[in-house]
Amino acid sequence: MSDLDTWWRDVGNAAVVGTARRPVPPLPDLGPSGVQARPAGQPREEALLDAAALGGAALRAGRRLDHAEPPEAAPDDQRAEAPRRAVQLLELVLTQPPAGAAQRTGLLAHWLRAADDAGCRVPHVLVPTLLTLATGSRELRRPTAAVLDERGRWLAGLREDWSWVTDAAAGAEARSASRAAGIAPPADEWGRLPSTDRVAVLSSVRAHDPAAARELISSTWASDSARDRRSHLETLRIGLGPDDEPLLEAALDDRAGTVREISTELLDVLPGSARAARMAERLRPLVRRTGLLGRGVEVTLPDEPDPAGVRDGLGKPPPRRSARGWWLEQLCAGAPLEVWAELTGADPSATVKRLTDAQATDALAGIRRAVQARRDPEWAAALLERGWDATLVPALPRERRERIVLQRVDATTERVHEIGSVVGSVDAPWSPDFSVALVSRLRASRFGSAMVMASMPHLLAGLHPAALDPLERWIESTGADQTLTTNLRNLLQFHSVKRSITEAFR
Amino acid sequence: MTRWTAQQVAGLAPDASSLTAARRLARPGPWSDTGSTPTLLWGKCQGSGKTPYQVSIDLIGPAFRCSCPSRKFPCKHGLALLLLWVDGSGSVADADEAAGFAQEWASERSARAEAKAAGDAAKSTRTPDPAAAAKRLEERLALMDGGMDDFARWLTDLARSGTASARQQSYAWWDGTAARLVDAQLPGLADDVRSVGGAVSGRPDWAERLLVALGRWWTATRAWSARESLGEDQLGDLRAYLGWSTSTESVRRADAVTDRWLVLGAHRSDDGRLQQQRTWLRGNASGEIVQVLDFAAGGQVLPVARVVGSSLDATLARYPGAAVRRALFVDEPAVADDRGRMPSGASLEEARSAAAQAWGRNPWARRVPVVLADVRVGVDRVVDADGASVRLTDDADVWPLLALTGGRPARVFGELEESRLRPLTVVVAGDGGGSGDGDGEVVGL
Repeated sequence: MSDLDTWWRDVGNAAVVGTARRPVPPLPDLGPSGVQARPAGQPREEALLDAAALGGAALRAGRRLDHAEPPEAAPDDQRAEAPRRAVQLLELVLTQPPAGAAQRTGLLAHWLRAADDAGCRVPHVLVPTLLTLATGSRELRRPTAAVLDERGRWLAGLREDWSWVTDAAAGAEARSASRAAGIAPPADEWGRLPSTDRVAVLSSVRAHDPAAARELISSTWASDSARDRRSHLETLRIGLGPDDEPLLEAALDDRAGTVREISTELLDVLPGSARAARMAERLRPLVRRTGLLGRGVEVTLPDEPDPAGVRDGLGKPPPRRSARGWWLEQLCAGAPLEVWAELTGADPSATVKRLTDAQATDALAGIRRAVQARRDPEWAAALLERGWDATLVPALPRERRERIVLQRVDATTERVHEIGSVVGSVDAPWSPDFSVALVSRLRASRFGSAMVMASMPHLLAGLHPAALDPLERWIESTGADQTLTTNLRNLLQFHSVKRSITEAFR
Repeated sequence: MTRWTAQQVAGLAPDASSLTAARRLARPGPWSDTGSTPTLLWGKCQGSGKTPYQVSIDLIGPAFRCSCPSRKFPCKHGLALLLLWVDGSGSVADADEAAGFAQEWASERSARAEAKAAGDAAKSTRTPDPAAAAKRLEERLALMDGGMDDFARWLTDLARSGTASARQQSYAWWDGTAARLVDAQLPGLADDVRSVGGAVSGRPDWAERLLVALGRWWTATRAWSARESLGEDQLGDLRAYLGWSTSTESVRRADAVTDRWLVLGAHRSDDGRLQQQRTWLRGNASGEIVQVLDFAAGGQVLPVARVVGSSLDATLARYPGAAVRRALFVDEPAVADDRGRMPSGASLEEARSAAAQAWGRNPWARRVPVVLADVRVGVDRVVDADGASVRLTDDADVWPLLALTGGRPARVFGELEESRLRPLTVVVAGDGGGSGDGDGEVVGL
């Protein structure tokens, strides 16, 4: 410790207790600085204050610098920064979200996905803001992690509350790797993956190489828990095809009821399967044509099934269902729809009419399920002629789907509570024609304001940019309805920003 | 000219609802006849009435005019037009000549400014009653003398009884001392006493802090009693510390420098009562760094921050002082076309030594501006090429800085305060890499 340090410590001690109780240490020799103590005879308290002034100045100006290791630098980024225009839009969404704060997450998610698809990264300066936002809202984490690149991941590693990035980035990477190549992980690695990740991996592999995913499922089938077996089978929904039949057929003998249940459900989707043929075989004797011209139909309920029938899904009915009615429904849901032409000699439309006349509700319920599962457009149309059912709409080809939904909107212009499910049955994004037509119908409705409110989530997700002009014209004429104006304006802003984002990455 | 950022526009809004309203209007729909020159921005906004509102904005001031009846200032139309302009999507095109109504307003404004300048000049030539002025000065000095004597006695009492007992005192005791200093027209000193008094009870390093503060205050009383022997510059620095303001008129009259000034960096603070904005400028020819201070209290709005890294052609008048000088714009600066180059910067050791020299000349300077070369930013400190390191101030937002530098050497402009650095600006190396004198992007933090 130097003289000066000792002196300053003693000055400090004197200051704490006061000069009334302790003397002030004499100034050490400061050598070339030329600073000298005042002549003796100065009151103690003034000597202390002099010393404080001197020491303070020395501390401030003369303190040696610390030395420290420089921090580890971030690796070089792999991706290019997002285009300038896109960056401006991101700034806009971050700092002053158009369309209200509530829609910020939606726009951000769109931006992040567009950036990832374009292989871009977020500009460095916006990384902290983005990380902070994504820390607060989970659905943004994965898309954020995907566009951070090296610099962003490095930054996130420096802060505890950003540690989620490591996991999310690994997930995003695995996903983008498998999205690009669709490569299944090696068997031993698959075996070690935790259950939650396995489903994600299966889903992505399944999308590119269904057989590889199926092999992964089989490879650990014997040792997996019933719960895992079920959730793995569920992923077969992606790209389900005849090749999956053997695995599903085998799963009908599974010891767990939940696994058997999902395999019958999936086999319902495959009209060419052996099980479908068996179900048709069981159904045939139950359906009889009636009337002179054979234009009627009569359906009898099945009897107690044999063990093979139980294995095919003719088991215990759901609560408060008649067992025989349930079995009939199961038969109709599992059999190929073609069997009806053979049994009634009529097309789907006429068949549905005759079954309706015969009040064969259980049979119709089964057919409905088969149509939903197999997305059969002709049968879906036939059923929709008899009555509205939003769950059948997705089975129709887009053009027809949009037309039928518009008809439904026309028929229900006064039923606000229904509009959401009606327009929601057309999956986003919507076609230009449909979008424009829908906006004009909403505008014409007496309850336009409430209808917009009720269908807002779908309008945000689905509307095509072509509807923005009509939307703008509508806003100009809304008059005093503030809620409507605000909703429409948010809608307009949301879509115009979204469109700009998409364009900015082109 | 570079368009602003949306954040800058947001900073101008008088309140949150104006900004929200402006965002709704910030789309091409309601606008017509828009355009901008480097100094003016204008447009017509269709409101609920028949005639559209005419909006004109002077980008340099900035100043606003809108024909709408709103009492908010700036109104939502002005903000919306700025947002639209910032957005850069082409809805506000660059024009060579301003629209009639905007040009008219701009001419009116400059005519008014000239008239005012002429009036000011007339005012300053109008000789005030020298006898009355001398009497007022004498009264003030007597008051300050009395206050300083009183304060010196308070200091020696404190030194005698010890800082430990001062620490036991309630805040009211410190506040009382500060209030007496205010009465003696020493408000700057009073602020310092209040801030130290507020910190002593809570901080683990209170003893040294208080001791250093005592030394600073004692130096002030000594300097004051010896003020006859101080040079004008030294007296200027002391006056600034004590809070004896220098009238802007007298500053304007003396010591003006015309130069091209690079905006090195800016800092805003808000203590709840008063907002302050410090802008650091560096003269191209002189190499001198000065600070321009703006204040806003109550509902006032600080002037828009100058764009960091831009150059201004301006005449700056400097306040009397020896080092770390304050200055004011004598007239409205013109934004120069070229972006200035950041000075190349120094090592931490050089910066520390330059700061020590500045403090040697002006012990009252709270902080000293420094440009650092090749420093690597860590979570709580910077490290230079020699391995020397300085901690960052507690109020520094280090995350954007870390994100921008990624742990690589960069040039950083900031303020050395006590023994810490408050980073204000960073020069981010371009894709070419390296951090030498090559031009990088200058980013204000």
